[in-house]
Amino acid sequence: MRRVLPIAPIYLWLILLVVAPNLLLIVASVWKNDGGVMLREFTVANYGKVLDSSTYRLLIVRTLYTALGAALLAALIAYPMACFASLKLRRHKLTAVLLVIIPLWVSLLIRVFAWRMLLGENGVLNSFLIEIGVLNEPSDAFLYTRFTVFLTLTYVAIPYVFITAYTALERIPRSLIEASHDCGANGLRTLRHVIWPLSRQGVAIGFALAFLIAVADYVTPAMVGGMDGTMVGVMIQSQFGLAGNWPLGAAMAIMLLLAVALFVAVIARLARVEGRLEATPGGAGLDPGRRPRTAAERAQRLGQWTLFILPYLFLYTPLAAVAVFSFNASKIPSLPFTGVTLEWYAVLFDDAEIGAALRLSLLVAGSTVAIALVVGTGFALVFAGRRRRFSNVLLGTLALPVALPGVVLGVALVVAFQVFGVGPGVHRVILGHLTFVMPIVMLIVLARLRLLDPSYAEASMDLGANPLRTFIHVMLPMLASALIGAALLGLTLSFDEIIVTFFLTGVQPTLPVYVWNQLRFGFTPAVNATFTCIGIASFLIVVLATRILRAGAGVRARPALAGA
Amino acid sequence: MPTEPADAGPATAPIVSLRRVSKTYDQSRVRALGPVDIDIRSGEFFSVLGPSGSGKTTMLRLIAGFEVPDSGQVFIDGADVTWTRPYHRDVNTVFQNYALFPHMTVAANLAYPLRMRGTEAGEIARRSADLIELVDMQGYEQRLPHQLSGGQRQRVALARALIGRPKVVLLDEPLGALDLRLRQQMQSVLKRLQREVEITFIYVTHDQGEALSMSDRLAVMHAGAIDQIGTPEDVYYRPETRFVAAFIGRSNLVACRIERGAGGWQARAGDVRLALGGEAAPGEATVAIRWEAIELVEDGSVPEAGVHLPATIDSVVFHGDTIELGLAAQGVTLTALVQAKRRLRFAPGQPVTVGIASDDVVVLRD
Repeated sequence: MRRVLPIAPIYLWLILLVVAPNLLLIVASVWKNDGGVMLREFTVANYGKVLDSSTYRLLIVRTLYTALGAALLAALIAYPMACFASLKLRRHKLTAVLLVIIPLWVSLLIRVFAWRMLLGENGVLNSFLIEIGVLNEPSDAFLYTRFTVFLTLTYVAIPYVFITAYTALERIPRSLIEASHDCGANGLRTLRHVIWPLSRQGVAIGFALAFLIAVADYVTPAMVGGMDGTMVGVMIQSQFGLAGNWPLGAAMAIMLLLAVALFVAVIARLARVEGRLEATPGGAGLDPGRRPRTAAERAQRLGQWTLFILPYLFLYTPLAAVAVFSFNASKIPSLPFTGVTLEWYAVLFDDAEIGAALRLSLLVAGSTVAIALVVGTGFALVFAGRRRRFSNVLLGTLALPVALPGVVLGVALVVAFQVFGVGPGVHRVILGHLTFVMPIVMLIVLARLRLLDPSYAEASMDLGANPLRTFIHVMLPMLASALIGAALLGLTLSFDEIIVTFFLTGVQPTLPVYVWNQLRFGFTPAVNATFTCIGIASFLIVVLATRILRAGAGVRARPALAGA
Repeated sequence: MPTEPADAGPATAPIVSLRRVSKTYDQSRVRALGPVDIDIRSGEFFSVLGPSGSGKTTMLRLIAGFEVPDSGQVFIDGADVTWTRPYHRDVNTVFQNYALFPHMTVAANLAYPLRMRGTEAGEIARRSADLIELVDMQGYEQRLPHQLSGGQRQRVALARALIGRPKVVLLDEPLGALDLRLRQQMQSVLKRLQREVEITFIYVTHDQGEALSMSDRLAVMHAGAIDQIGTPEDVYYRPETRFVAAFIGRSNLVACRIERGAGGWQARAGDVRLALGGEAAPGEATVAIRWEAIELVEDGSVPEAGVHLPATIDSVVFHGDTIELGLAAQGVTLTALVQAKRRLRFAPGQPVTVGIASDDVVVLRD
C-alpha cells in the first residue's frame, strides 16, 4: 500500500492529461461530423477523405519537405557554430551558447512577426531597396511565399539544432580528439572520423526537434506564408475553426503524427552510432598555447570565425528591427526613420484591452507555475525514490506533451475537454499549459534530486526529523535554486504559448493571442512596443533563471568527496 | 653500484630533448613547468615520477604536441618540433583513460593511425594482426571498447600507440585506473613489450614502485622542476634533494653540520657524529638516511665503515613483514625499519645499539 499510494496521482495525471486526450484524438478521428457537431458513430470516412483530398496530399508533402529543408539548413548553419563554440572557444563559451538559445525564449510570435516586418510590402527590405533605387515600387515577392516560410522556419530551428549538437560535442572527451591527432589525423579528418560520428546523434535529435516544430507550426505559415506558403498545421487548425469539422481535423492530425513519426524513426536510424561514450575524465581542457600559423591556417581560421559569427547576425537582426521600429514615429515600418518617439509605448500602456490580456496572461502563467511546482516536485520525489528502469517509461510518457507538435496537443486537448464537458475558460488554458509545464518542472527537480546525495535525507531522519520536516528543512533549501529556475522557465513558456492557448481560450484572449488577433487587423508600432516589452521581460527572466540554476550546481558536492 | 655517470653522455644522440622548456597555463599564475632540460636516450624505458601537479603530464603533452611551450625548444630525433602539430610528430600516446574511439571496433581503432598515413589495406591487416598477437587480444578484433575490460582496453590502447612504429611512445599514467593485481600484471607486460619492440618509452607516473621497477632511468619532478635524473638505484640510494629523499622510499632527514673530522668528513647533529662516505663541502646541510639503512647491531661490535650509536626505543609499530622503530639517539630522533622475525621483541624504553654505514648517509643539495 505504501508503495502504491504515492504512485496513484502520477497515473491519474497520466491518464487524464496525457493518455485520454491522445486516445480521444484517435477516437474522434473515426467519428462522424454532422454540421460542426461530433457524432459518436464509427466511420473511417475521415481518413478516406484525407487521403482523397489532393489539397491535403499537396499540403502534407509540401509541409514535410519544407520542414525537412528548414531543419536541414538549420543543421548546416548550427553544426559548424556548435563545433566552433564547443571546440575552439576558450572564453565566453556560456555567453556564446546563451546568445543562440535566448531567441527560443523570445516568443515565437515575435520572431515570426519580425520577418513579416522585414519582408512585407511596406517592410524594411522593400523600403530600403526603393531608397537605394533598386526597386521603383514595393515588391510582394518577399512575403507570403513558400521561401519566406522556409526562411522563417530555418530561423526558428537553428537554436534547437545548436543546443543539442553543442551538448553532444561537449560530451566528447577531449582526450579522444587528442588521440586522433596523436594517430596522425589533422583537424578535418578528426572532424570526419571522430567528432562527427560521436556528435551526429545529438545533431539528429536537434534536427528531429526542429523538424517536429516546423512540421506542425501554425504561427509561421499563417503569418508569413499567405496562400502559397500555407502548411498542414493551418489546415488542421481551420477544421477546428472556420471549417468546423473536428473529426476530419483529428484524422489529419493523426496522419500528420504518423508521417512525422516515420520520418523521425528514419532520422534516428540513420544517425545511430555504435559504441558507447563513457564518462571518462576528459583532456586537460587548458589553453594549449598558440602556434605560429601559416597563411592557409589563418584563412581557415577566418572562415571558421565567419561561419560562427554570421548566424548571430541572422538570429538578432529581426529581433533588433522589432525593437528599433517600436521607437519609429511613422506607423509604417519602413526606412528611413521618420523620427524617434515613445508614442507607441504610451499607446500600449493606455490600452485597456492590452491590460486585460496581460492580466489574464499573468494569471494563467502564475497559476500554471504554482500548480506545476507542487505537482512536479511531488512527482519528482516519488520518482527519485524508485529504480530508473521503472521511472524512465513513465517519465517519457508524462513528458510526451512537451514533444507533441503544438497543433496536435491543442487539438487533442480541445477534443478531450469537449468530451469531458469542460467548457472554455481560464481553467482550460491553465490545464492545457500544465500538460507541458509540469513535466518540465518535474524533470528539472528530478535531475537535481538525483545529484543530491541520499545520505542528506538519511542523516536528517537519523537525527530525528520525520519525512515532512526533512523535506522542509533539508531537501527544500537544496532544491530551492532548481525550483526557482524551473518556475521562471515555466513562466516564460506559459506566458509565450500561443497555439495551445488559441485552441483552449474562450472569448478572453491572453496577451500573445490578443496580439495575434491584432496582427490580423493590421499593424501599428504598438505591436512592436508590446513585443519589445515581452522580449525584454523574457530575456531578463531567462538570464535570471540561468544564473540561479548555475548557482545551484554547487550543491553537487557530495559529503563523501567534500572531505577528500 | 652500477651507475653510469650522468655527464658521460650516451654514444648516440638523444631521441627526445627539451631545452629550457617552460609552460604556464593561461588560467593559472603558477608556472606548470620549467624551465627544464632533459635528454632521453633512444630505446630506453624512461619514467617521469612526481606527485600530481608536479608538471609531469605537462611535459608529456609538450612532447606529444598537444601543447606548445612558452619558451624553449622540443627536439625529437634531432629535429626541432617545438611548433609541429601532434599529427605531424612521430610520437604516439597511451592516454590515461585510454581514449579508444568508442564508435570504432578494436580493429578499426588499431587501423586508425595507419589509415591516416595512407597505408594500404593489406599492410594494415598484417600489422594489425601482428599487434593483436603482441598484446594477446586475438578474438576481440570486432569488439567495441565498452565491451572490453579495463585491462583489455589498456592493451588495445598500447597496441594502437605501437602500430605506427613511432620513435617514441608516451604513456600517461596508463595503469592508474587498474586494480592492484592487474596493474602488476600489466607492468611486466609493458616492460616485456618495450624490450621486444625496442621503442623508447616515456612513462609518466606518480607510483614510485612502478617507476623504480620498470625504468632504465627516471626523472623525479617536483613543482614544475626536475629534481633528479638517474637510474632507479641512483635515485633511491643517492637522493639529491629533500623532496626526492622523502618522496621515494622513506628517509630520516637530519639537519647537521658538515665538518672535517679525524677520520674524514663527518656530519654532526647534536652529539651524534655520522661518518660520510666521500668528499663533502663544509657547512650547514641536511643528510638523508633511509629507514631500512639503520641496522640493529650487537652491543660492543666495531663498525667497518660508519658508526655505532647507543639509542633508546621510543615507539614500536608492527607492520607484519617489518617493524618500525622510533629511536632517540643522543638527541637525534631517527626511525628505523627492521625485518620482522618471531624472535625479535621490542618495547619502548629498551636500549639498543644502531649501526649506520657511511655510504648510507647522503648529503642533500638543499
